[in-house]
Amino acid sequence: MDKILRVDMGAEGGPKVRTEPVGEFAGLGGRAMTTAIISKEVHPLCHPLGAENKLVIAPGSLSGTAASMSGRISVGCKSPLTGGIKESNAGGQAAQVLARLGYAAIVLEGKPEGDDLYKIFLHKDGVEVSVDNSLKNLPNYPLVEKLKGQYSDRAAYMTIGTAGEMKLLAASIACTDPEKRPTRHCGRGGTGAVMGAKRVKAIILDDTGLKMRAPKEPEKFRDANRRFVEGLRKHPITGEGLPAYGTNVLTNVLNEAGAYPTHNFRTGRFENAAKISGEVQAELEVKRGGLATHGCHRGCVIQCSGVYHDKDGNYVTKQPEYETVWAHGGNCGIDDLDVIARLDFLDDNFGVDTMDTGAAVGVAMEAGLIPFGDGPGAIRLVEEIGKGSPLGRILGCGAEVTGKVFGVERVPVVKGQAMAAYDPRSVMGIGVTYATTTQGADHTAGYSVGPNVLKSGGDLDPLKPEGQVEMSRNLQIATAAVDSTGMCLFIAFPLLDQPETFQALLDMIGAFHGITLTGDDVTALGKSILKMERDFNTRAGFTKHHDRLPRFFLKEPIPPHNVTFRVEDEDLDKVFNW
Amino acid sequence: MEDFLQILRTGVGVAVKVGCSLKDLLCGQFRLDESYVERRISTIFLDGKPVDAVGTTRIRDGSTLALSAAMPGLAGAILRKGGALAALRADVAPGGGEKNEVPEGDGVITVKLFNLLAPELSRGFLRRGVLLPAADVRAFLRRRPPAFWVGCREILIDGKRVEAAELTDGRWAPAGESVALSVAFREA
Repeated sequence: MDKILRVDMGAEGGPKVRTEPVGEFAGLGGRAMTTAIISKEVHPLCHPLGAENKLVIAPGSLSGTAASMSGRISVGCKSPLTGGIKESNAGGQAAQVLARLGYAAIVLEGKPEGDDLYKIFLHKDGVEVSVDNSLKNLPNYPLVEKLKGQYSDRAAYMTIGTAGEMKLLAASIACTDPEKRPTRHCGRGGTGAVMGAKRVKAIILDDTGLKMRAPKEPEKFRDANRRFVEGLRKHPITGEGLPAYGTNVLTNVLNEAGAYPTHNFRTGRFENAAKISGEVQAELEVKRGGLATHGCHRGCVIQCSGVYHDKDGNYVTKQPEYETVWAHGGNCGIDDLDVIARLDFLDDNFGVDTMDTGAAVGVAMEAGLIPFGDGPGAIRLVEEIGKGSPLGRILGCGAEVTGKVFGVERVPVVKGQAMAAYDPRSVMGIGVTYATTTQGADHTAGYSVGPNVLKSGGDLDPLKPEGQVEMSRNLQIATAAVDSTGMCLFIAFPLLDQPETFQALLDMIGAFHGITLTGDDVTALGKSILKMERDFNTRAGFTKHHDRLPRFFLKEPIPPHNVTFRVEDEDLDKVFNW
Repeated sequence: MEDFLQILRTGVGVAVKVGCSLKDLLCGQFRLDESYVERRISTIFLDGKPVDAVGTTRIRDGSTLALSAAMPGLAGAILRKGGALAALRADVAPGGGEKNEVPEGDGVITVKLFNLLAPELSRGFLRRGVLLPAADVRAFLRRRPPAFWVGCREILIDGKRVEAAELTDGRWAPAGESVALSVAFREA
């Protein structure tokens, strides 16, 4: 990955392509790359849908290698949803293929005049940008179906659905899975709207004739990868729980903890949570001939995904993830997995973030558009997004816009982005991360943890606010670093529990690049990313007052534990004091 | 046994001696191996609060005990028994559960078995016997497919052998009453 592809979509005479050496961005991958380019090259006060914004697509630094779990691709831009810097990543095949093509990043710049819609085709012999207006108004599934017939069987696709074309603020970028279904999404922050603003409907990546990226020290790399995979397989979460039940295994547990936001964050328990749990979902998938265990990209050993069929055995969607089941399920009072699966399909097909869309539907229910628990009504609302009706465009712009339009006070967002499936009153540490992350309320921003990171916090008492702040900071640092490798964040648990697995990861990265890597290096990388992101957001007008949860979380106790969020503002302001 | 898993995930009543520690309950009364409790049961909730100290947390009549294997996600790590991130709970009562003296005696608690633990522990709880509302038992039995009854070797109500049809008509269990359900499995 020694080159960067820049496509000036607004160039005179049509899009212009140039390939340049990776230069000052050498060694960066994933979030580190997207953040470095955006923070350096994008004016922080630009309009996110304007020509000045850029869309950066970067595979992880280990993507395209034989490293297991290295299939995450990062997309970065100034977010139309939050107004700040954004990195959103997804699985699927795109990261591996793009990395093998040798590109450390694709940067879409400028904005074309007119209504033409473009596709960009990358292959071993070059890059082709062409107008293809036959793709207009196609949702993701028919779009990929149409493209599949035109390209090699090895091709991976990054596409936007109708929501991206309409530049809706919750629009996603879809990445195809190994079966070439547009099921993996860079969902958060409206990256699909930025791609739509640049009039790019599809990026086709074909690595035919290319091999895996070779490590500098092949033997050491192979050995470290073997130890890493062993660590994943022997851990109960990555070796058993996630493969058996997927991420939705969390439903019963979060519900029991009273931390499962229900009816638009009114209560922490959903009485019918068991009916939509991962355990029931997995049994149903197997019974109907789908899959309860499936990888979102080749090289995944955790296999936390699946395939969801209807009662007649026909494909509906990939296994809806925990956050999706929650957003469209308990959050909306819906206890029917078939309804939730249909909503997941619609989200993927139109190309919108399942979390912000589910949260928007919950806010619409709060406003009285339809009652909580109305599954068919929820489907009708999401179908409005696909139609592009005024109501659909409101919902497709996420929970915050929906709340403003319908006059709802209880809107669970930070920096314009909807929260995920964890109530910050019941699990306050997640609230610290929701409030302070550069990305808007993001449950993955403070997700990853390794033994070195836990120890790097010094001797502060973790039971006191300053200790929690310290821990949230360290988690955010570690996550930023892992997001740069292309590694799936689910590796976090073996890293936490098994020091030898953490060491195997360091050894694998080191052997690939021919260097010796330490935990301190990882921390330094994570810090540098967060510094760039904080700096961008500050220049974009963000202040400490944006690092706050909505006031209702401080005022309304949530049943069953009847707690409020009680971390003081001055403690939140210490998260980035290092 | 798969048929019974959802019942155990939703929660069943179990007659126990209360006033003891959670460890005594799990290892003594439920006869679970100590290393299994330590390593496999990674997440424990007592009345909705995560438990860290199984040796000192006391069980009282009417409690709800939920058992889970290790869970993914930041929340999973935070809720884990004695986990390194337990401090991030703050208000889900670190080390929750009753630590004061609780009078010893007979009682009934609700037990929920989640995820990997349901198939591993269901057999033992069903053999021991669980308490369920009669309406739930009736609804459960009526939803069983024919294959369930084919595999059912003997049905006893209050010690008297009956046919499957008598069991499913539900007249033996008046609405509003509780049923003590015990299931013995033939060893594989």
